[in-house]
Amino acid sequence: MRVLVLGLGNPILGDDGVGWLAAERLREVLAERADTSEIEVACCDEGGVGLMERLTGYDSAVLVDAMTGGAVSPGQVRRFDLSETTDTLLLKASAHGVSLPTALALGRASGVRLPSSIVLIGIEAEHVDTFGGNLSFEVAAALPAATQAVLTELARIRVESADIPVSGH
Amino acid sequence: MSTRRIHVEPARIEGALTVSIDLDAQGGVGAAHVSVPEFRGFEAFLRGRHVTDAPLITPRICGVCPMPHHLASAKAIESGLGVEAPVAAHLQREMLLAVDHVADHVLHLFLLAGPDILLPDLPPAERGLPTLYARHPEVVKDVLEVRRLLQVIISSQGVQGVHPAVWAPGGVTRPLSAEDRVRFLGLARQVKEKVLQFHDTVLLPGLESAARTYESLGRLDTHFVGLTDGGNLNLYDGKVRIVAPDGTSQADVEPARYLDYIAERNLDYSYAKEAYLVSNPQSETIYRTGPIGRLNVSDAITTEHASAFLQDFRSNYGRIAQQTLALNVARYISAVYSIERAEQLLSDERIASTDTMAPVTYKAGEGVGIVEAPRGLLIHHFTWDDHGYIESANIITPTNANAYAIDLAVKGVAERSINDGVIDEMQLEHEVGLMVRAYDPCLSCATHAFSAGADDGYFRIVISHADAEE
Repeated sequence: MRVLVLGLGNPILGDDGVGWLAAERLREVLAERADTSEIEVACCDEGGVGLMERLTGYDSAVLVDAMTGGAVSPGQVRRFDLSETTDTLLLKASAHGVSLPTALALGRASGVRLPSSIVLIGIEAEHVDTFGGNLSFEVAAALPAATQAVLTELARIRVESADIPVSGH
Repeated sequence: MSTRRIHVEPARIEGALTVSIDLDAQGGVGAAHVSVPEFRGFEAFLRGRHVTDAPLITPRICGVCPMPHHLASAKAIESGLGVEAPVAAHLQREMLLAVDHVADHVLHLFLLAGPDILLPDLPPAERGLPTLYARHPEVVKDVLEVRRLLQVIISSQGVQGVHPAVWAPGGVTRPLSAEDRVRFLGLARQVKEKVLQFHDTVLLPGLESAARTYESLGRLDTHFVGLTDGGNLNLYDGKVRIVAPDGTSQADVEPARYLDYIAERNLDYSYAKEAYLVSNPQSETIYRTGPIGRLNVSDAITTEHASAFLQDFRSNYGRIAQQTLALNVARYISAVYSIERAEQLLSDERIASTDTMAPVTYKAGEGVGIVEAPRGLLIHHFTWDDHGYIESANIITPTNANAYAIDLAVKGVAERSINDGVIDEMQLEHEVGLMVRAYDPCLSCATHAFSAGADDGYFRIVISHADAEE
């Protein structure tokens, strides 16, 4: 069982850095816990195809990222499940860009080994267009909630993986 | 009669870009411009930081091209301090830069521009990765496999995938082992074979045929700028060569003298700055850069297949190619050169020497570092004080130059689809997309905030009509 926790975004572009900061916080929290050796915590500033490629080889992934247009106020946290095998995307015509869901669908169809569970924890951002290392107040205040949301996902992944009979046991 | 304004936002580019077209009173195209978002404040963000941080911070300008930014910063510092990195460091850097170019070019050519080129019979709205995969699954699989193999090389010398943190002013901090040299050489040869196969299968038939069909689309006659080493194409080092549109005159410029030739200004209709040539004092002159710039400024290419393809390219498009869709053909040839060059560099045993770092002592300085990023000439220029703290920073990206060309070309492209107030929206969307994507503009600036409101993706195509007076 290999689990990837990936902080996304750009650490020096205002609130876009919240995913990286959440990942740092999770690394500290997990370091104090026993039995977390299967969990890898990392950061990534790619999107689309490059991000899909980064997820290759893991059984489960939890992504944490700033989001815009989430129809919530800055600092609110939302959960998105990207795990479904999105065969329908391949059938549906789309001239849109290479979003993560499209890249995931493409990877799965092409035989790339992608996690069976991919969940994104999104934190609504206030500003993502000016370089600087500081988060806005509401977004910084959301870090504990975002961290907790990732820990909840890790607990769920552990329970679900324990439900699956492993050969040899 | 009021005038109307149309917005087109092409998808499948690295970032977001809006094309605005104003119709005049007769229903023809009045003005047409491109605006691109700019993520502000990067140069100010660098001021006051230690110059050794620049190679670690500048890769954050762009999540698409971290490696060239990293390298341009390191070279700027070395030039300002008079440090000469060891041979092994130069070989390793050039090899990794070449590998980076290949990974970038195959992604753009086949997956981003590919749907337009390989699915010309589908309406624009139906062209995308899903339909590309449905029709040409082997192309998509080969691209992903090529990128997987290249990533093995890139990630082994970097701490984390695309972020090579092993490079520093003075050289590279991690020597390449003799075993890895042999292993990477094998990977590079595998990739070369696949990239060469694209020539006869779908790529060149598709690209050459599109270039013939759209011979006059968005055509400009411009200067070109690129790096050469004594006239030979070079991604990593050399002088900046500037050639005139007809090839009759050229200049070879030392990197430190770039300001004598290249300037930037702000635009009122776009957040991004635009770069232009100032070599002719009577008028500002547009330049283009990127794969087509590299081919146009070079007397020769030193690798086998790319050199042969360059001869074909020149017989098809002229000594100085100006056609818009020739940019895609040039991008393929540039990818072939880059993988062949990576193979050459990995064949040189000196690349695995353990002597990879020269000592660096900080004193006040000013340095310019220039490399070819996949999209063209990238310039980093810093000044710093006695303790190494940055006093000023100037960064000119290839898209700053190419966005100016896209802006100039868009009016002519729009006129092909708009007559007497009648707009062929499908043709407009298709042709604007073809032209813009040929430049492979990179506007992403590393922001990848998850767009929760969109049903699929960060980039959308929207054509709306509104009164310009509104």
